[in-house]
Amino acid sequence: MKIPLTLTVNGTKVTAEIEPRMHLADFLREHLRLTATHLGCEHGVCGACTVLVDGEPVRSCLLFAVQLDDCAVETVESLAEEGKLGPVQRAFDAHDALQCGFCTSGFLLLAESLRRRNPPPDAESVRELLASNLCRCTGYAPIVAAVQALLAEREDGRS
Amino acid sequence: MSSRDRTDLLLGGASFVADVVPEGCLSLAVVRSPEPHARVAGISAERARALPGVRAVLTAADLDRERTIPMRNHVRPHMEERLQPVLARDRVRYVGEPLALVVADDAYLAEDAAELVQLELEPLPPVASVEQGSPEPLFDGLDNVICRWEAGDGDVEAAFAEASHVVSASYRVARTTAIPLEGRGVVASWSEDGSLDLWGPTKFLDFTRRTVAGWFDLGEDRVRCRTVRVGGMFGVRGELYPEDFLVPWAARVVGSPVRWIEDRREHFLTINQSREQVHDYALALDADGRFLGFRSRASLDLGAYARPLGARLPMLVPILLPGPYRWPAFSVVSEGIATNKTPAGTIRGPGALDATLVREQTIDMAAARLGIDPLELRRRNFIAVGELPHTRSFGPEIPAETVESGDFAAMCDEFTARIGYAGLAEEAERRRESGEAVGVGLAAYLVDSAVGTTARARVSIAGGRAAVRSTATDVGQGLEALLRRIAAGSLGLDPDLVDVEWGSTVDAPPSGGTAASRSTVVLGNAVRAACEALLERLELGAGELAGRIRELPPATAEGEFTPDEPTLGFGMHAALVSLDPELLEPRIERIAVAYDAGHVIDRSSVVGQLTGAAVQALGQTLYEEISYDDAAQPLTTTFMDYLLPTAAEAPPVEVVLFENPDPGNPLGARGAGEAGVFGVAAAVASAVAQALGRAEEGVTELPISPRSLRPSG
Repeated sequence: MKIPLTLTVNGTKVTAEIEPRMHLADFLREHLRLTATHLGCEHGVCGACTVLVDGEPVRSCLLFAVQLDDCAVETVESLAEEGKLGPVQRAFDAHDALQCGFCTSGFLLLAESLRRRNPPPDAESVRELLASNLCRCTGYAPIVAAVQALLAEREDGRS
Repeated sequence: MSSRDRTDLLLGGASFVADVVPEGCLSLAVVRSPEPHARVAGISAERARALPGVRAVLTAADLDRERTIPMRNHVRPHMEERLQPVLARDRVRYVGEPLALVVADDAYLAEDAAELVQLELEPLPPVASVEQGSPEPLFDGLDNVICRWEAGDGDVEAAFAEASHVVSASYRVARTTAIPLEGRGVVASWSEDGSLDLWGPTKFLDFTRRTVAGWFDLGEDRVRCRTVRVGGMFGVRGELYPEDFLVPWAARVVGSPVRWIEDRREHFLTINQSREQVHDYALALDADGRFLGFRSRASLDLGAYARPLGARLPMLVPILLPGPYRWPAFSVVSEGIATNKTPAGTIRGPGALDATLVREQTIDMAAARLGIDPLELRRRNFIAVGELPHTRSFGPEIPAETVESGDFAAMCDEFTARIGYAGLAEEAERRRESGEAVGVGLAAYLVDSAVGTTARARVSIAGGRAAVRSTATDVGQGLEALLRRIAAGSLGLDPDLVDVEWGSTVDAPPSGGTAASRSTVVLGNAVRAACEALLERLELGAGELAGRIRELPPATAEGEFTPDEPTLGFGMHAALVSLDPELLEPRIERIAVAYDAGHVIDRSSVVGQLTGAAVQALGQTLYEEISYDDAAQPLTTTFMDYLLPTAAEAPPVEVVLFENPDPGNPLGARGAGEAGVFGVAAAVASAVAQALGRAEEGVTELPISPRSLRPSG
């Protein structure tokens, strides 16, 4: 049984007929071939598959794609600016906030959602907010620093 | 790391193994044993085969001959009889062992069909622990001791007989694994000419290629390992596993490319596990606190089968136990025991977190009992500069090692001064007097890295650019940037003119593997040698290539480096830990690591490695444990059961680098990928013991959890 689905992915309208059991991450990766979204556990703990749905960070392994009718999904593929690193990506690069880069997609979108928050979270709460995702390489300090710098930039009105 | 290496990762365009989907690719699911120990009475695949979209269901009965996961090195007697078949035929020995495979049009269908494969298993008594009395043998005709090392030096009996003080303790270390965030995966595609492309192997590409070629009776050059981005390796990924056979075999049977991407449950059931041991250790001291000797007896739980690295894990016990101290005598008996658990292998800092805990915690217990400051007791026993070079013998079966350089006492003094250790100790004491549970702990160690076989590298110039090629892999450690920097420096070129090709066996000389913190030292020196050979061939001096590279015709040279002995680098950890006296949950207030990395080529990468390694080790110190019940059923198969540090638990790691060049290699570097692991458990255990007023009894169990600290224990 397949179900029709219409949603927006990275600003583009997408229609598809899919099995109801296909989760959003597989829909993005296998159906749309948007492979920047990574699967680390498929049970909602690691956060590598984090995407934005209507601006909010969600685990794309925990949602069925058919639940997203009429929703707007954003993935890492939308963060670049004219093919070059966007503000969140630049902050991660500048702070060495990635080593293997597998968790990075999830952290980038989590950070992007924090950047859009109004008012933005204060520096002290950033560490707690980032605790929703796992990184196995960096020890987190550079990720926390990157996001704090990003939020400080926003405070200064620079991005 | 220069940003060009990671732009693809940040933009989302990087290709990990799960992103590789050749045209017409089918999906594979593995049917795994739910029993820890059983006879295989039958496998019925009819229902699975009947499912629409299923292309094949294969079992050991479909194999033309037996194939096993071979050993690469450190083979001990009778270990060859304990190799794992790529598919179990008549007996299974751990939960997760492959029994059958299914190929279907997509992964959802393959998993549906895998559930329809009916297994008829007749349970046998399982072995769930190294301490289980009169256990059922896992292999008929063999006992459950997989391997055994006896190592030592000097007269230990005499040392203990003349000792003024003997401090003994028994340690238990939990089974853990390394958890790269990306799971394993293999993609296989056969060409019409009978050659094979593989995506997924990452650690020992040359060994994997040679083994796979042998399995399929191919010449080595008919198997090509292709570059993929690697989502963390940490020693566990990229070892040879049954799927390295199953996926290409299935692809050949069905005549299409096949992919297998594991899920996290499979990862917990199948990737190499490590560290689990019971360990008795005794330290003999004279009246002045000078070490006279130690005795160690370790039993390591190696799980069901011998793995490619042979008897390496128990062999590391005697190698790592002596540390930076002088020992007139020591003796070690180290055994690897078979149980019905997932097989064990090396993980980042193999044997090191555990051995350092055992030695350093016993030293702290001695310090408390003798009333000597723990720092002073260590300083008294460090190998002194005047005693170098200091050769350490382990007996006839393990090669001796020589400590060539390093002023350990001076580095210890500088580290403790930089982090304000004396102030921390005073602070902890003051807070304890006011009723808080706070302690400060230290650990010292010697990091044994950059071991293994010869590395080769190729350097060429063409079209105004230089290129470096090898079969080593960038796993996030920054290999690409590092080799670019070394080549640019050796050739006198702008780093932007140097391309680095890695992770593929196509047209690349063997690197000897990406392991043991060896890439900078072993491969780096091979790249340096290749650059020198190239300049010699071109008859150019250093600095002359940059001006002429555009006009020169293409040229190529190879270089190699063989590590005769490991680089031995001094390191220390320190931790300030507090606990809620009722909840007993340790909170790391500060943690610091110092390491003599030798000549540092890429500072941010070394700091990143030490920091990340320390936080990984903190997880294994405080939270992580792969549990099995008494019937050897695994209880830890999700991230809800296996707790990893998040940003909320991970403290900032203070890093102090010493840069005393290693005299044993031209670059003067030492391996830095694993040093950050070594002393974490020891320093934290020491701090916790002090905080709880039990420094004389010590903290002797990992993980150091509230459960392990409760008096009832």
